[in-house]
Amino acid sequence: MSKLLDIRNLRVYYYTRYGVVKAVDGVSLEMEKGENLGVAGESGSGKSTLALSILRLIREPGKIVSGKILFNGEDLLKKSEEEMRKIRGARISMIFQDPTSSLNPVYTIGDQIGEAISLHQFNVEGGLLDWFLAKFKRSYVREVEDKVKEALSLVGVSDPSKRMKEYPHQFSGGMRQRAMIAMAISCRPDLLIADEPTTNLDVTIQAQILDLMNHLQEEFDVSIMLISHNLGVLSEFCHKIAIMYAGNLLELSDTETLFEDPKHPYTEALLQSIPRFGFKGKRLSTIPGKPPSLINPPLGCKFHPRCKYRIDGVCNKIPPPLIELDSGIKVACHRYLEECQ
Amino acid sequence: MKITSPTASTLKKLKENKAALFGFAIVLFFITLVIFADIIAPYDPNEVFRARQPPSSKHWFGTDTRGRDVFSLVVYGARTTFYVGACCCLIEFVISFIIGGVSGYIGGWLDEALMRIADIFLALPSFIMVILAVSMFKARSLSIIILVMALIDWPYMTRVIRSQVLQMKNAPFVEAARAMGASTPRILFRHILPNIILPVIVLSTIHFAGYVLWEASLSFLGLGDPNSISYGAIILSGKNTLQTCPWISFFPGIFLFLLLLGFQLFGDGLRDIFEIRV
Amino acid sequence: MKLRTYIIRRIIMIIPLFFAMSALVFVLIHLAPGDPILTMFGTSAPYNKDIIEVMRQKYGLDKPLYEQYLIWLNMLLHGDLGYSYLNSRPISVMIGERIIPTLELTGSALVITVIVSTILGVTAAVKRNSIIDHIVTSFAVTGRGIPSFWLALILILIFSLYLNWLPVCGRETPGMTFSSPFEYWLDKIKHMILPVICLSSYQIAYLVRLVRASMLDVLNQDYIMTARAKGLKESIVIYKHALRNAILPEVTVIGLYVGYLMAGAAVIETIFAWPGLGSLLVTSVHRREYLLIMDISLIIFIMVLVANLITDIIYAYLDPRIKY
Repeated sequence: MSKLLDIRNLRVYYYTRYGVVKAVDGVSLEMEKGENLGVAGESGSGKSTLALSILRLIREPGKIVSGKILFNGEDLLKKSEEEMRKIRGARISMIFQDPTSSLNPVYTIGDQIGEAISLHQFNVEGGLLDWFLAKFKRSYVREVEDKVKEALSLVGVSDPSKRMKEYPHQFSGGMRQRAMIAMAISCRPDLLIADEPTTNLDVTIQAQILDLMNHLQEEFDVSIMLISHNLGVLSEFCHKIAIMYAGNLLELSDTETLFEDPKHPYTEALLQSIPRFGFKGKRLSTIPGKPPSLINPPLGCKFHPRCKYRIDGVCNKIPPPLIELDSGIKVACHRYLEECQ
Repeated sequence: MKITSPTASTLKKLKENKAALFGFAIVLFFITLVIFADIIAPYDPNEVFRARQPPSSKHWFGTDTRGRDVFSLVVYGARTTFYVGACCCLIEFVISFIIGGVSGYIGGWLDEALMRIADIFLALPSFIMVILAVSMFKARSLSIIILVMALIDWPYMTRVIRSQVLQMKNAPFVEAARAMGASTPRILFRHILPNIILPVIVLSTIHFAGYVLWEASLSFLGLGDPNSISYGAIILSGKNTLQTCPWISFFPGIFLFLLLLGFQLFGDGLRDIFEIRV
Repeated sequence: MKLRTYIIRRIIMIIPLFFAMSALVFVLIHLAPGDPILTMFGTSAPYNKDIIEVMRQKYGLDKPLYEQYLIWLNMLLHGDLGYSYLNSRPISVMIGERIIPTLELTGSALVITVIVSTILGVTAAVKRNSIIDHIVTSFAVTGRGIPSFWLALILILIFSLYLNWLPVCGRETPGMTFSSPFEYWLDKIKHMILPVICLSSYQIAYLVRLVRASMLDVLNQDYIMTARAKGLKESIVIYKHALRNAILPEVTVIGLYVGYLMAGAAVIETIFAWPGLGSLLVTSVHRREYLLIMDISLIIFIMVLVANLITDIIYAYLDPRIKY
């Protein structure tokens, strides 16, 4: 059985006038069908770039330099733009962080969801001619409307026939994100990529949205790649979590083990820095130093300047390869090389 | 990490912005013309030679229908233009500062009333208003034209100053001054004025070009000051002999174009450099 | 509030504006010291003292200013625009026959400006930093500095006088009879090309920059990424999603532009001897016919106001955030 998503050694660079920004520098990851993968990391770790690369939405001055992205066995990087368009929104969907700015303010919610449905399920491209003809082909228009209503009620929007005629600014933040999700799952994709979907929302709404995504996943068998810098959100939702740092994958582990027994020093430090109840009076622990430049990253392991376990002569010279431990956990750290050997 | 002074980084930004540099160079060029007109111009602009001569070594831009040397006319014309522009900008600033400052600072019904009046001015074509206003004067002089233009144009800068004043009205340093018992005029002049200078300068450069164009258009329509040397008037005088003596209209026009372009580019550049939202 | 309410509100607001405008016009004309009648007749041949007396009576020139204003306002509201003694014609007729030519010029200029600047602006934004972008941007920057009347003379020089492709001035070739409507329209268009270009050049330069900047801004927005992530074609993303948002600032500016158009019309119509309101305004200023000047100005201002109203309504229609 082929994996749903198999990314091999992906490199995505941005060619700016300040230098080459190595946003994703040799990342390999896998996702099985029915599995939820969490991708965690600070800002600038490359998670969003990774997500955009899957849909081939990287634009100038960014470029996918090398690697393979296998989706159900097919290499997405070898497909033509036209083939990719058939996949976007239909087999792989993506929702973004800020639902307010992610929806076009001048079109109704119904229009925007309907656009995806018309495109993928009715093969209507949405151009001027199609818009004009739509005035006459009432039957297909009604079908699209029905599906829009269905999608909206699936995500828990009440009174969908009224609300689909409204504009984004008339929706609240949580509702907008629901609308985005409705748009994304309207064509029943196999993979849904959610880039920080709850970051801009209140905590209570956050919980609702996560619940919704859970429910949708069960009902429609969508696999979800959830990107967040909030480990708490990921812990509740994902089966596996990938930790990214400065364009590299540092650890890929199942959720439980990640929290109980983190392997990579960075993961360890991250977990330690989460403030906990009951530990009064102790200083908050932080990770010393700051994230490295992506144009001139440190030699060797990119984390080594901030790592308390670093081994001089090794960690600052040789980049650690991604090793698979017996438990199936992958980690990129020299400390485990001996374990392997 | 290097720490650079504000002056140094501003100069650096100026150097990088080619358009602004170009504009600045043109402005300097014209300022030179204005200051050194007597030296640069070969002849007195009102001196009469053989009429309608094409450009030659004696008359670089040729002579006009009356026989005046076009090059000297153009050089001295820069003085008139600058005089008009500068006076208008100055008067405009004074009026706007008083009205905008008072209106913004005091607020209330006075502010409302003034802004309503401003809205009417803003909705209508100001150039037509200028034409209206100068139409009934029996004898038009440069001073009248300057006054009329500055008076009709007041809403633009007034609004900008007013919005700046509104922003600063509740700023801590103004509150502190008030707490110390400073009177309103004192606050306006000593505290608010220095802070609005920069956007005012940027806006003034662009308005300068506007006034120059208005004055030239008025003169071109025959509504300017007949005793002054205006680019518009010279271009007008070349209109009837356009085919036979194109140089009469051509050269003043090029200079007018350069002047307008220079000030606009310079103003845009200043705005980009100082990052002012106007 | 619904669109209809918005429209009605705006239309009602025109009424006080009309009065304010007329007051403004009146004040501006009377800025100059002296008796307007004497000023007027002072520049033309000696006139019958009786006519002067009649005018004084009719327009109440011996009365205080505010009464004069009310008399004039009263005349206007009754549809009486007065009589031009210097032209021996009622003013309403004079103005009436000039409105359409002015609308022809300004209307065409407006349409052409919008179309050209939108196309150029969008192209420059989409193909950012390409050669086309550089050409369009340089053109936009320099075009702002070219005085329209000088441009007119240069173009006349090249295209009418040297190349003889286009007529020098006027609205139609005098004395010509046309054997077909096509010829009629061709002649008309040939007369309109140069004036329209000169009227619109400045604003095209200005608008192109605005559209380009607006478009670049919009293309960076998240919803554009969403549209692409849905699988839409790039052209749909640009024209359906981006453009609709990018033209909003343009529509606002066009409202202001209409005022500029009228002002430009005064100059351009004079150069091209176009029989419109602008050239009439200028000639009446030369002859110091204050009543004619006031009436024309008021008509022009009303046109600008109505155009602004229409623009505002169009904007409200395009931007749902205003309606709801």
